[in-house]
Parts: sequence; C-alpha cells; structure tokens
Amino acid sequence: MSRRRLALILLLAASGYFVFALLVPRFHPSAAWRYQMGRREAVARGREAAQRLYGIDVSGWATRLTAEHQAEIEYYLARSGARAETSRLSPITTSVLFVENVGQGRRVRVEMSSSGQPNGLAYRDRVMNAPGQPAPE
Amino acid sequence: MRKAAAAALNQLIGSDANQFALVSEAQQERRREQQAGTRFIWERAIAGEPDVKLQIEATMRGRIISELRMRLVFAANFQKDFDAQHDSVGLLATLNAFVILVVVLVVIGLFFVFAMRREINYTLALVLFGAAFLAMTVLQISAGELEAGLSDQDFRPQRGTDSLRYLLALLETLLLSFFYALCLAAMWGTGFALVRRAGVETKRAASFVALLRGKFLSRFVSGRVAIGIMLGGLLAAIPYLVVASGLFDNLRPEQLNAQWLVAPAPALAALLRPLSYGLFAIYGFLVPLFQSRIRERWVLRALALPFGCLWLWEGVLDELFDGGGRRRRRTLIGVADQIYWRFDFLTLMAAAFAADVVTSAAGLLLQSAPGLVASGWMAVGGLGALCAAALVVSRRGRDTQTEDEAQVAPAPAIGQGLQPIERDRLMAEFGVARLAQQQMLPAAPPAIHGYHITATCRPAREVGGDLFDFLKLPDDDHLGIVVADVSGKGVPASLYMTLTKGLLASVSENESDPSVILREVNRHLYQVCRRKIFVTMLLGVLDPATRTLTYARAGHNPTVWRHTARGASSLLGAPGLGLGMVSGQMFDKSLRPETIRLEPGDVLFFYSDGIPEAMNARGEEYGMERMLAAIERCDELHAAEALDVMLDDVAEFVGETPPHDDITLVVLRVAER
Repeated sequence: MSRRRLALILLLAASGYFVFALLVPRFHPSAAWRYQMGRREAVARGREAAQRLYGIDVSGWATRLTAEHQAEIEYYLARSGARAETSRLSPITTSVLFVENVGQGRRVRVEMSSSGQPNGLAYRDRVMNAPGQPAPE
Repeated sequence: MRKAAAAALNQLIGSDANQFALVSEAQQERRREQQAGTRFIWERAIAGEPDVKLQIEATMRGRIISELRMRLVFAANFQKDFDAQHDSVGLLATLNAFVILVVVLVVIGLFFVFAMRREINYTLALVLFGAAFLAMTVLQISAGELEAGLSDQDFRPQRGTDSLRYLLALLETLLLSFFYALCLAAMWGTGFALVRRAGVETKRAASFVALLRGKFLSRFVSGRVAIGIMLGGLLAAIPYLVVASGLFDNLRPEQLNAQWLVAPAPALAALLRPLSYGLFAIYGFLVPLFQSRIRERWVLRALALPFGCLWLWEGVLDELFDGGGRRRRRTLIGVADQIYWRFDFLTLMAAAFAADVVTSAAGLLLQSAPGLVASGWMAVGGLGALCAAALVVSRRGRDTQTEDEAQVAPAPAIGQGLQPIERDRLMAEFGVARLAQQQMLPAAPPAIHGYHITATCRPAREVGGDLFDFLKLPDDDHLGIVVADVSGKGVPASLYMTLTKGLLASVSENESDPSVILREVNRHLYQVCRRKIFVTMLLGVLDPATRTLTYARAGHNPTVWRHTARGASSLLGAPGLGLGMVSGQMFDKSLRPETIRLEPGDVLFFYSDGIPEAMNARGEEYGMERMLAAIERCDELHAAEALDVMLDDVAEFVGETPPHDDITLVVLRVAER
C-alpha cells in the first residue's frame, strides 16, 4: 500500500471515529437511559427488596436478570420531561427473579427502574404454580 | 386484606403511596398470566397531563402480594400518535422482511443447485458455519439472552424440573445459533460458488477465503482486517450524521439491546455481535449473483443500491420504537459499497464488525453504572488491540496471497462427455495433481527488507505449464526470481514444468550467475526434450544491498520495469532463445545477460504470455498496450495490490471467456525511502 493511500485511510479512520465520538453522546438513543446499576447491584437491591417486602432471605437462590426497554414510557418521558410523579418510571425496567430450587420452590421477582427503585413485585410458590389451583378464599 | 395491600404499597414506594387513591377492588379468577385473588388498583393523576395516569395494580392472595406493578395508562390520542409512527415503521420492516425471505429462498434454491453440481466448497462453508455457531452461542450466553429466555419460564413453571427447563432453553439457544450459522454458511457458500463459476472479481473473496483457511497471521488477511477496523468508524458515524442533519424527524440510530445492561459479560457480547446479515447477504451473495450475469460494475452497484437502502432505512427507522431485542444494521450503503469495491469482502465485514462494536460500546459507556462503563472501555480496548495486532501482522506476517488466489480461481470443467463415475475419478485425480502442482510453487514470497514481492500462478486447465520460483542462491542474500512457461498445456506441460523446477533447484545450489544457470538447465532439457517441447524462462538475480538485478532471458516475455519516479516503463528484453530448443553452443551464444539498477519505488512485473495473450469473446487480445496502461495505474500501490489490479484488468477484459493459457505474475516493488 502506498503512503498516500495509507495516509488517506488513517485520515478517514480518524475522521470517522472522531465524528462518531462527537455525535454519540447527543444522538445515541441509549444515552437517555442513564442506567445506574450493574448486574451485581441489581441483585443486591432485589435481595434487599425481597427481604423488606416479603421477609424472605433469598441468599443462595438462583437469580435470573432481565432488562426490558419500555418504548411507550420512553416516548412519554421524552415528550413530557422529568416529573416528580413519574420519577419511579424509566425506559428500562430491570427484573430480578430469585428461584428457590429446593423446599417450597418459591419465586420472588422484583422489578426496578434504571436508578434501582423497586416499582413491581411478584411472588409464586409451588402451590400457586400448580395447575388448576382454585382461587383462595 | 385491603390494609395488607396498602401496607405493601407503602413499603414499596414509601410516602408517595399517599398520593394514590384506590379506584378498584375486585375478586379475580385465575387466568393464564394472572393469579387468582383480590385485585386492587390505585391511581394518581399527573399535573398538566389529563391524558396520562399513573396506576398501581396489585393482586393479593391472602395476605401475600402475588403481583404488584406500577404503570402508565395513556389515553387513546396518545396511543394513536405512538401507533401511527410505529405503523409507518412497520411497513418498512415488513418490506425488508419480505426481501430477506425472498433472498433466503433464492439462497436455498441455488445452494441445492450448486450442491448437485458439487461446486460448493463444503470445507470453507463448514468453517464459517462453525465460527458463526460458536460466536452466536457465546454471544447469547454472555449477553444474557439465555437467562432472559429462562426467566419467565422459571417464574411460572408449567412443567418439568428446573434442570430440564434449563436444558430446553439451552437447546433453544443452540438451535437459534444453528440456523443463524446455517443461513450465513449457505449464503456465503453459494455466493462463493457463483464467484468461482463466473471467474471474475475473485480477488474480493480471496482474503475472506484465506481467513477461513485459518491464515490469520498472513499479511494479506491481517492488512484487510486492519483497514476494515479503521474504516469502521465511518460506518459507525454515518447514522449519527444522518440524524444530526435534522432532515429526518423520526430517525434514531440503533439503540443498545437493553438486556446487555444486566448481561453476565457485556464487553464480550459487544465484541461478539454477529456479522451483519444485511451486508453479508448483499455482498456475500447478491452481488456475486448479479456478477455471474452482469459484467458492468456500475450496473452491479445500481442493483445492490435498493437492497442496501431498504436495509439501511428500515434499520435506522425501526429503532425508534424497537423493543430492544432486535439488533438492526445501519450504515449508508454508499460507504459500504465503496469499501467493498475498493478493498474486498473481508474489509467490509471487518468494518461492519468494528462499527457494531463501537456502537455497542458507546451504548455501555453512556450509562451511569461504573461496571457498564468499564465494560464499554473493555470492548473498545479489545477492538483496539485487535486492530493493533492486525496492523503489526500486516507489516511483519507471512504473505500467503499466492496460494489463496490459486484456490479462489475458477475451477475448470473436466471430464466432459465421460460417465459420471469415470468423471468423478478423473476429477479426483486431477484435483490431487492440481494441488500437488500448486504445492510445488512457493507457499509465500521471501521477505526481503526494502522490497515487497508477491506472486500468483493460475493454470488454465486442471494442471498448467507455467512456473514461478524464488531461488536461494549461494551468494549471500542474492535472490533468484524465475518465471517460466512450458510450451503446450495440460498434463505434458505440467510434467516438463516439474522437471524444469527440479533442474533449476539443482543447478542453483552451486551457481548464482543467471546465464550459467540457464545454460545448465538448457543442456539437460535439450537432452530430455529432443526439440519436442521447449521452455521460455526469465531468471533475474536480485542483489538487495546494491539494488541491482542481473537477468538472463531465454525467449520469455520481457519483464516490465516501471520507473515510478519518472512515470515511465521499459522492457527487459535481453536476447536469448528458449530452453530445450537448441544445443548448448547455439544457446550460449544467444544468451546475453544484463544488469539494471533499480531506484526506490520501481516495480518489476515478471509475467507469462497468458496475460498479454488473454482473449475476450470477440477474439481480441489483451495485449501489451493494455497491460502497460494497467501497470501505470499501479504506481501508488503495494505489490499485492498491483497484482490484484493487473489480474482484475485482465479478468474484466476477457469477461466470461474461459482462459486459454496459464497466467503467472510476479511483482517486485522496491520500497520507497
């Protein structure tokens, strides 16, 4: 490869990455998420919420993490801006599921906003998950 | 129960619970997704937003909250705005999906056609399949897709044990990877068969083939990878430039897959993003498909354009309301097109890979969690390390282009008119002979400081009579460069070619003078050939230290000496008769070696008559004039690129006409100061 061609490629490479770095913070759709938790922190917060709300110590249980993009919420938040009422909602909902592999086969799921505030809960056990289980009194 | 529900609400959101009013309390039967129990709904109005309400729904089973969720409830007009834009995007998505479906069906059809004709290179397709399968599987696990798939099943297990569910989810992951890899391999395998069949533009497949052959450490492959990664920045920047232009209100570039925020290894996931299906389909399959029928490059590009645009706009547009699960491709097709035609398929794929990595890494870097930011930097660092390694290897690695070009060259039809069994046997034997002959040629040109050398030899038939070689001579550091052509073609020529190579190797063990070597070879050949066959040869002896080349020419085509600094070309046409034609004395008299002094930047093109005598469908010869014109265009190019330009020019000239003679080309370039 000639020097001129190599120089051109280097110039294009530098320009491309420079423009990308310049525009990404402004236009990357995920920039608005400002996701504050890592995987480990999400599990810790979920565990704490399970203890506080259900009184269950989920240490040692299997964990499953999912994060879901809520397009409608993102659309609304982008249109209406930040409000105190909706501070618990975020475009990303993180869900931590704790699964008890032994005993009653309990499941606790905690849903959180991007900042780690719980905004959803769910509980199941082997009895509740049994097919044809009648409604409780 | 109501008190217990209110207490749970308080525990969940604290004092904010006071802002919510209970609007509904009812018994609920068990449904598919919902538990039986008492269902409570609280609502809160949002100031200045009559169309939107914040709602919390809880289902209590006794005193236990079986489900509680906060959500926004939108009025119809809000939903209408949202859906209207979503629908317009959906139309493009549907069209894109339809095009992909058609392409996949065409791929499947052609794959079977080529498979029946045994024109699919299964080894390479299998390597691609294996690599894609492995990458996709690791990606799904590292990106948390397997975990996401398990999550819902684990919450409401319908049947089976936890282990069985995990096994089934894993199987599902493997199946997805399997079909992804299968499509990719079938697409490329068919595209490559089309390229080989058409026999044009083979150089655009060569580096990818070399990569599949595991030649990561060759200069050729790593150079393309390095260039691709560098140009990836352009591909990555383009969607943002389109959006920043403000010309399109609804556009947004691709967003990060939300699942990666909680993935076990987001940095690894960013580095393993699967190859761009869109680009792969267009340049790995569609362009070769069009090429097999159409020669004009502008028509090819025009045909590829609508596919590229559709893929681009759909990819950019649908991200606005994408659920985060799908990863769409985006780039301006024009840039991808330029990269493909100016470089090759591997460069384009490397660029797409780099663009994907930096786009994903940027998504991670823009988050607030330190762990995600670190993952983003790790992905960028990984890409940078790969680029640096590729750059280093591209300067210091082995050059394996010769062999790969030969493998990419179109396979000629043999055994026509024979019974299938006989033909198969003959093909197998010729395959062995072809491979053996190719293996006789140097695997890679020698690396000499201050010089770039590359070479190729493409037999017109199953085996050929052309030869090139690099001789290690007894004089220190002197290198012998040989190009030879045995009269005739096919098997007889190949046998004499083998003999000539052996003689050369034997004589050059003790001799460095090119004229003496040729005289000795002639003496032996004359005895063996008995004037029935002859060999033309040019032997140049390069002294790298003094930049001199002493050559002797035994009736071979004159080497072209390109004086790059002066912009002129001259021919090395020292007199000499062909080997094996006349007895020793007459031959000795005819031979007059010459010595030339090379300047930095000068290029020597050693070639066989297969190039100037190449013919097109109208019976016209390529000729020296076209050849010299093509050489003029190589002034700024590396030896390997000059070789590509030359061969491409010949291929474009001959079109679909089958080659009637072997083509050999050795390019030596003196590095500039």
